[in-house]
Amino acid sequence: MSRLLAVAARELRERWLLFPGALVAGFLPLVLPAFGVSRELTPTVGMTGAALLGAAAAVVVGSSMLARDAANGRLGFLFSRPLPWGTIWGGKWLAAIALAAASAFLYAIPCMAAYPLSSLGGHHGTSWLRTMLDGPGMVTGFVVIVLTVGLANFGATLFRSRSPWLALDLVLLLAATWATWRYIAPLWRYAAPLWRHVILGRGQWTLTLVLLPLALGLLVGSVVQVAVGRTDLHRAHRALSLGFWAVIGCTLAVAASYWQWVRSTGPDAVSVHVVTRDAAGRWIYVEGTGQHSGWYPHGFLIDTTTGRYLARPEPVEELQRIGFRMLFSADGRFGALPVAARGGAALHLFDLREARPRVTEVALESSPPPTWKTRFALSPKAASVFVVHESGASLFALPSGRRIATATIPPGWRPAVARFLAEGAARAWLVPSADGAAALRARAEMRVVDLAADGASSGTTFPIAAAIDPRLGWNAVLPDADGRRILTLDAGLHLRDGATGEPVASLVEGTGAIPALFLADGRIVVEGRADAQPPSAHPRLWVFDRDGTKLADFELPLLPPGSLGIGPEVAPGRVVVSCYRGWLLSEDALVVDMASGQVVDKLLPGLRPTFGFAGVSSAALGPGSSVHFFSVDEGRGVIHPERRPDRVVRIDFATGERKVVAGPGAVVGERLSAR
Amino acid sequence: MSAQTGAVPALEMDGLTIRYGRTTVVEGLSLAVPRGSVYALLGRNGAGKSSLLRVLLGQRPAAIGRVLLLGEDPWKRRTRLMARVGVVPEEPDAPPEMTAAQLSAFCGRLHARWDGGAVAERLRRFEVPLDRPFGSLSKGQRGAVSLALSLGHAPELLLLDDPTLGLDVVARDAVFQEVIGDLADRGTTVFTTTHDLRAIEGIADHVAILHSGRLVLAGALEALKAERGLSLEQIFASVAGTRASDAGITEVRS
Amino acid sequence: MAPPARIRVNPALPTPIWSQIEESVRHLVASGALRPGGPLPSVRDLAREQQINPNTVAKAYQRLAEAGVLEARRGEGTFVAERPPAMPPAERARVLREGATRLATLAVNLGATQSEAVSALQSAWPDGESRAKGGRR
Repeated sequence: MSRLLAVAARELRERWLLFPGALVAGFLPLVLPAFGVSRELTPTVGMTGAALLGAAAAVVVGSSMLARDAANGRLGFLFSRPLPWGTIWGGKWLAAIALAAASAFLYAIPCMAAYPLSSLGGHHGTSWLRTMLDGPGMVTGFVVIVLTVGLANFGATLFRSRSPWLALDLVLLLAATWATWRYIAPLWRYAAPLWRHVILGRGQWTLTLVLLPLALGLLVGSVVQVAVGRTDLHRAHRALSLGFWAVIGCTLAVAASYWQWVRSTGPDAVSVHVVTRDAAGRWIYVEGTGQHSGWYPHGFLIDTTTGRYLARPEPVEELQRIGFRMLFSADGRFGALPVAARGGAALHLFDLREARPRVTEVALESSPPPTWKTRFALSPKAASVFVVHESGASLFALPSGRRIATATIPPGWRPAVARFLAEGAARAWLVPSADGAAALRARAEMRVVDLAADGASSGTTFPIAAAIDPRLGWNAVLPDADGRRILTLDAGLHLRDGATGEPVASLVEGTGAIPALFLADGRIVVEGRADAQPPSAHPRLWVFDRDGTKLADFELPLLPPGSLGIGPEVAPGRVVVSCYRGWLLSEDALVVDMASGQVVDKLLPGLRPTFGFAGVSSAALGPGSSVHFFSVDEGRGVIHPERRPDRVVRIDFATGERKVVAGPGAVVGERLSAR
Repeated sequence: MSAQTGAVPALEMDGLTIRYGRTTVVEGLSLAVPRGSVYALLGRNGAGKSSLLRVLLGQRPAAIGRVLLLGEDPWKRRTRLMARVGVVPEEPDAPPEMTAAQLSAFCGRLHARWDGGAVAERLRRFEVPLDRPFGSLSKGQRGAVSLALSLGHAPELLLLDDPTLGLDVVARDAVFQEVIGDLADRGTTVFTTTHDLRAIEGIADHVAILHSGRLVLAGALEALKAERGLSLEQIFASVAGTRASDAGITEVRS
Repeated sequence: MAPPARIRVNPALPTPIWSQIEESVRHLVASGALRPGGPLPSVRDLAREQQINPNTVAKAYQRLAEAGVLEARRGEGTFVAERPPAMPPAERARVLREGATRLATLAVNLGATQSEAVSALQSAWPDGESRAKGGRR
């Protein structure tokens, strides 16, 4: 140890002038106010200068400690003594780091003394020293110093050796850059947040994490340089290169294999949080996150009859934080996934007729990139797609992507639901947009926009009972299967004409969300509420006929309080009613017969129907489908605050067959590759 | 003091070939330096001597052939061996900002045994000021400091690379007298490369002559001179002047 | 020829250095420059002064000690022997013959006859005696 310190001391002695020089130079920022520079800038200038001086010192030492000393024999002097190479390496590195850190610190002293941290405004802390010496700051500073010294050493060795090995270094640099762009950048976008926030606990370690492999590589490279290259510059260069690129190569290999592993995850390894289904119940599209893949949005198209699945094609551009769900054509032959591509909107069109679905990317002509406020709908035979933005609605032909019809939308509207009424006719219902100033003038009205394939369009604004609660924006309108009637949530639940918005009947009075469902035969089921209902009363179901006439009033054998979810209709006239009571209590899922109000079946607790979420209105379920999908909580324990459904169960109510099709425990079949 | 017979040679090379870039420094060099001897490696002043020295000191591995320093591989056992070996390189390599006294103190911290007093005494004999930076000394004084530092830990083997290059007669004599004194006191083995034949003639008891990287003559100096009836300079001229490369290895043992 | 006053060697000569030293010491002892019991320069000093290998000096001293010309005293150094050894008859004959050969060569070079040389020897005998005796005292 004393030998190591002797070597370090000699290095410091050679460059001793840096210490007083740094201290004197540190007074420079203090005289800046005399030249008209604002006093407030001085601490910033001082600290920046300190960092720069530290970096400069690191460069000076790094470039001379091994490369220059090998050239002028000084390294040979040390190697001719009984010093292990580790002592030589350690002493020089110790001196380099000490010199860089000390120079920066000495430069900063006059500034720190003249401008105590507590006297500066803002939340910087009480003392310069304490701020500097906190964990992440010191570690990052250390890594940056090591990096600078290492880079200076690498550069100086390259320069002095004049070895043809340089060509290899350049080639490897290009290869590493490509590999980083290909494998590390996507990890950074999706998986890294997991590491940054969950594993390391703080976002400020990000920079350190990125620089660490580089610093480590340079450090290891210099170790090999001293151990194997010793005093010969050619061999030293070779050793340094090999050591450095070995570390970088390993890092990239680890990252690349992690990335490949992430991408090869199957639907049985993800926590599902989005599910959309086709009409027949054969295909589902799920999105979810894997346990170890951060926020990477896995997306799978699964054939639930066979278990075979297709992973969603790699997104071309940055995925929006809110992704888009797959649309299925009513005839079950096509699926379409909206994506943002090349600055516009596009669809990944899946041909589901074949054993291995063919995927085509269809760019939608002149369409702006979709946002979370855009609504999509797919025509029953997938001949066209209906896209509704805030500024306009358009029909695009498939699979060409050519625009065939457009209708403009006046400002102030946001689409809530978009639906095809028939192959060539689409309709969208819009609510007042709730952004900014518009929210202050909340209007009690809605708008209907019709668009036909021949270009005919119409738009009608109609009044509603009260301004829609902006929080319910996308639940405010519920159309029936044909789109001819709608239910609106405007201070109660009202039945209206789908085309004109004319009120037909007022079903329920009250504010807030009111669950409702259109049955296949046209009846309407809602959660019944009376003004004078005591809070301890059992939940009630009200059934109405097509015209809004109340047919029945059932009491459900469920303990309050709770919020109901009504649907799906699993058999003619039989509906699943779910009751959520918040995270401390259990959930119930009952199958209730709407004629008698009897509970005919009870599903496992925790099953929730997978309704479509915002962004996509899938085709309404046709009658006759007995297959329904439910999402299941993992049951991590009642204490867990985020009871996010993560598993999808397929139940065929005709046969009673149940199986897990996505999420942990799913039986997956062959992974298909897209053609 | 006589050379120990039967002991491990202080330095041994077997088929050693060293290339530096495109030049072949030595090719197929095989020789053995007996303990306690003064071995002179003679050859024209040319490139590559420092490469050879680097290999001997374990700073470069011997790619082809073998080197044994005090019976051990210098590449693998450098740290242990440097405690028993003293080195005076051709270009003095001490840090220029340190004074002779500081250098002695520095080396004292690096070696387990260091006789600082003896070093100071040697420097006094050489009339080298102890408090002037190494870089500001004359060439002769720098060489003297290097020599003094190389002997401070009482090495068993002393390696000198052209110690008298660029020195005047007085300085040269001082160097050799110092080496001889150490030799007389402790029986140090001395291995030196040089081209100053006249000076080395009295001291060396073994010589090896290199020509174009190949060993053309090696053996006990006394026997060589007795056999040929020539002085060392004459022997060297006759052997090294040979242009044909088929002047084979002639090994004469005493 | 006057014997050298100090031990000197010439490394360039073909004669081995130890032999040169030996010869030199013998002549110094014979000429009286080195008195019986007198000290010789140490191995170290002689080697340093002449810039020759101390082993060589040691070898010469050892041979001279074995021949009885010098004696080594532990801790004190090397000295001329008190009583120069009696030369064995064969050795004496050889050295005499060497000297005689020189005289004969000289005489032939000068063109003198053998009897002239013999008479010169006879006439020089008293001078030689006095010189040798004087040196020994």
